[in-house]
Amino acid sequence: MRIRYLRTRLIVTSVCLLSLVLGAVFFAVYTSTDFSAERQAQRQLEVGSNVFRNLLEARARELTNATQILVADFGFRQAVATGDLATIRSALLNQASRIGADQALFFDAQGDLRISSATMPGSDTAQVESLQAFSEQALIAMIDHRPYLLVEAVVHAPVPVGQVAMAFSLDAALAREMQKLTGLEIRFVSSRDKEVMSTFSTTPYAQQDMSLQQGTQRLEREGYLTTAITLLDQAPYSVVAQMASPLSDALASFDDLKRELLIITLIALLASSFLAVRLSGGLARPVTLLAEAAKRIGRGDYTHKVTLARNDELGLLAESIDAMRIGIAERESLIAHNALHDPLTGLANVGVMRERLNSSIVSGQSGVLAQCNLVTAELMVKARGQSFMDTLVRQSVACLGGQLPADSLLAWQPGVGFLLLLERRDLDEAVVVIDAMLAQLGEKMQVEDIKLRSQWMAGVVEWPLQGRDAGELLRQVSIALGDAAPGPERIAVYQAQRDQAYQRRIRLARDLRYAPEYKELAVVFQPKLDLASGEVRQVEALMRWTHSELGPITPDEFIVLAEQTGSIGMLTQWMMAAVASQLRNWIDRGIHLQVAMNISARDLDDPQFPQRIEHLLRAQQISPEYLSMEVTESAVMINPERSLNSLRVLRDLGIALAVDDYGTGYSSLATLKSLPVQDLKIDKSFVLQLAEGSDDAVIVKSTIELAHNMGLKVIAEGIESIDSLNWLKERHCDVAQGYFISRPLAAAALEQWLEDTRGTFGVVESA
Amino acid sequence: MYQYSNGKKMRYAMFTLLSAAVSLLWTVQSNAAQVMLTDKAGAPLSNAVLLVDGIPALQSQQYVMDQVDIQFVPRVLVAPVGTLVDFPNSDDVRHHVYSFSSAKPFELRLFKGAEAPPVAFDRAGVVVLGCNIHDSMIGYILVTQSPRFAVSDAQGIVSLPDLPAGNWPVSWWHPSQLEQPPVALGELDLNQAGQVLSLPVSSAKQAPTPVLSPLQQRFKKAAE
Repeated sequence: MRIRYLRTRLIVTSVCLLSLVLGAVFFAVYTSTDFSAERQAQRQLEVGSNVFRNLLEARARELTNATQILVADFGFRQAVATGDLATIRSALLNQASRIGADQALFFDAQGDLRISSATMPGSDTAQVESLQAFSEQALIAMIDHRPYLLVEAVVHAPVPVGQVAMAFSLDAALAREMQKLTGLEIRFVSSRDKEVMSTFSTTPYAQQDMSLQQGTQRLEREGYLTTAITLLDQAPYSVVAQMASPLSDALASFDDLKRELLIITLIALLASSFLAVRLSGGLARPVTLLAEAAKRIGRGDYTHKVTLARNDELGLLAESIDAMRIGIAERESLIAHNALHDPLTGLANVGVMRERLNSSIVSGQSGVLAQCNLVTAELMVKARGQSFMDTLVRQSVACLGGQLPADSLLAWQPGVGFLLLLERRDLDEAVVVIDAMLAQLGEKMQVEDIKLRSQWMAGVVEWPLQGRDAGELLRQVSIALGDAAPGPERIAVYQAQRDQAYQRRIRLARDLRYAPEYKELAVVFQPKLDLASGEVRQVEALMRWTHSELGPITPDEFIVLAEQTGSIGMLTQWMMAAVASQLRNWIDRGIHLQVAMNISARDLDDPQFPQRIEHLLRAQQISPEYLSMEVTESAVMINPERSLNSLRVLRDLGIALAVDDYGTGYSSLATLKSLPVQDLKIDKSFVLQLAEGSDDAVIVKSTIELAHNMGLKVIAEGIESIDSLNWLKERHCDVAQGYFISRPLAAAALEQWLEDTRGTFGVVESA
Repeated sequence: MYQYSNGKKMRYAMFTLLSAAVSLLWTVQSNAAQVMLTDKAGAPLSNAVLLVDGIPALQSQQYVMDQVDIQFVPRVLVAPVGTLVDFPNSDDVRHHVYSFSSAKPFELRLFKGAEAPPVAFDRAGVVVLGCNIHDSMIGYILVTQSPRFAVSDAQGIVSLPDLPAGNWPVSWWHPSQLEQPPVALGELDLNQAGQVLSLPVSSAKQAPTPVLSPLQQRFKKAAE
């Protein structure tokens, strides 16, 4: 529509322009011919009036000469001199008819009119009413109410004896003759007292329209250009010769020219309009084609080649649009591929997986979704770099080629790992497939310059058993993967409870950070009994978290969480402040207890940590002997160098150090040897079931001996019976800790307990 | 052209000769009466005729109206009734002398030299002479019965020789009178020396003033 409008506009504009130009030309020619015609008419009038005057004068001269001949005639003279009127009359008439005079007059020596050739009825002689010189030789006379051109001659015999006048009527015949010679319409108008007496005219046009004014003027209505020559103006008589040049004649000479011009103009207009239509069509049609092509491309149809067989800008535009079409098609297919595929492996991405999963769920199918990832993925990226990892993944994909069932869908998502969709399969079947896949992935392979065997784990979820939503299933499978562990547990199946635990962990991890603020944390102290003396000189400070909604949270739960989420540093800080404050309080009140607190790997990793402890102690003016710290072997092992350094600084401060939870995790004697500790705390899992001859008893007994041999004191925790206590005492364990002695107690309760049990354990020993 | 200028010279020569003759006459005839004629304006009037009656005529003489340089010479000739006047043609062209005057209408057709016979003027009156082929030629012959007459010369002097003393009836004529007879002045003693006669003639210089045509007069009147 718009194109059509453009085209119309092009046509209209060019045709208008042409019409304007041609119209202007036409108008100019038309006006100038009109002007020229008028000028021509005017010129004709001027020339004509001059010719008229000259003709009249020439006629007068001619007549004068003829009259002179008469008056020179001897016989005529004789007749005049002798007063022979009859002869005079006949001679006059004779001469008048000879020269064509309309009136011949004779005056005697006294000037009286004696003879006139033409008379009005009832009168002897004509009446000369008015007379005025017209030229040297001619007069204009009004005789008997009629205008005449009059010439005169005196009769000499030899003195003047009379006078002859010959008069020529200014009548229609003369007018016609003059018209022939001048080409003008002639009219003689004689009037008396402005009243027209007679008119002789060559034209039929109305008399009243003729002006009696002298000078050129135009009569628009009649189409004449007129002028008047006053021949006689003697009151009350006047004779005017009017001349009119018809404009139509002058205009007629231009009519052919105008007609031709009109035809040429029309032909030019038609031809140029036709050209304009053709040209605009030639412009608008390809534009329309291009617009359609652009529309097609806009719809996403890239199949039609855009081409215009032209060499001009439009052809170039078509080429450009075609180049654009190809470019867009390529990029769109790339974008579409990228939208559905992982650029690294070329496998489908999670989006495709989600889609497939959804459609599968909607169609009522059942199946299994698995997610598998490299066990040591993070470590590998850290150690070898991302490109190594990428190569590994690519090679893994390559080695999987063809191994999976044809109807399965394998996807890769960075940070997630492989996702495998197995439709119409129950869990057992699926696990077999997945296990085969993990085995395949675990094959030894050459990656860059390294031969390695990578370990993969998988999480599995069943649908529609566990969910009917793709997003939910993906989340669940990821949780299941989190539960998998290297070895036999490398495939973990998602279970709903695990999910609840996971949700709780997430919530706790979040809320833990706000626990100090909400004053949900508390310190409890568990007494440590010195088995040799039976006295309690040491306590272990333990943290308690009572969640406002979930209630008490066990340290096993939230400490692990804090370590994983990085909140442990904050907890240690809080703990330190609480312990220092309590110590200050006790010292002030004369209660001297060494308080042990647990420090994490993160604390050890922090170079500022020992310094902070020192500041705190100094601020509270507490001697370092009041403080001891328990650290697990594995915590030290995360960053051994830095941890050892921190431990040495703490030791140098005079703070007692103990290895906590000894016997679980890495229990390396070499490590133990290198640690600057005084105490070794045997893990409670060994102490809980101490019975003679059990494995645990052997381990504990030999550990005590080992520690003593290394110069370390041994602390056993988890004592829940008198037997255990006695057994340990017999084996020369140095310190015991456990529910049998006391549960962890709040500070006030501890003080009370200390009061109550003073000397009790010595009694036990003795008992 | 050459001929014409030659004629002019000749006329001038003739004029000087004539005036010499007059002055000779003047000195010889000491008793001639001399009167000066003037026009109304007092200017000397030539070609005017003084006529004296009542005294005997002098000896008759030869009357000639010559044609010199396509002019009548003299312009005014006074001839007593009954005299013959010769019309010699001194020009080398022909003249056709005529007169339609009632006193003596006559016609001398195209003649040369002395071909023309003398014309007898036997009636008193004015005879206006013209030439049919030379319209400018106008001459006057005053045929009179008066015994004595004379024509005034270029200075307006009229000389009447041997005029007896005393008062005599005097009359005058001038071409402006056309065919009117001479006009009587009464009895005058013309012998008195230094007499000046003023005549009621308007134009002294040009003897025949051309009469305006009636049409022209009318035109003039109308134009005024």
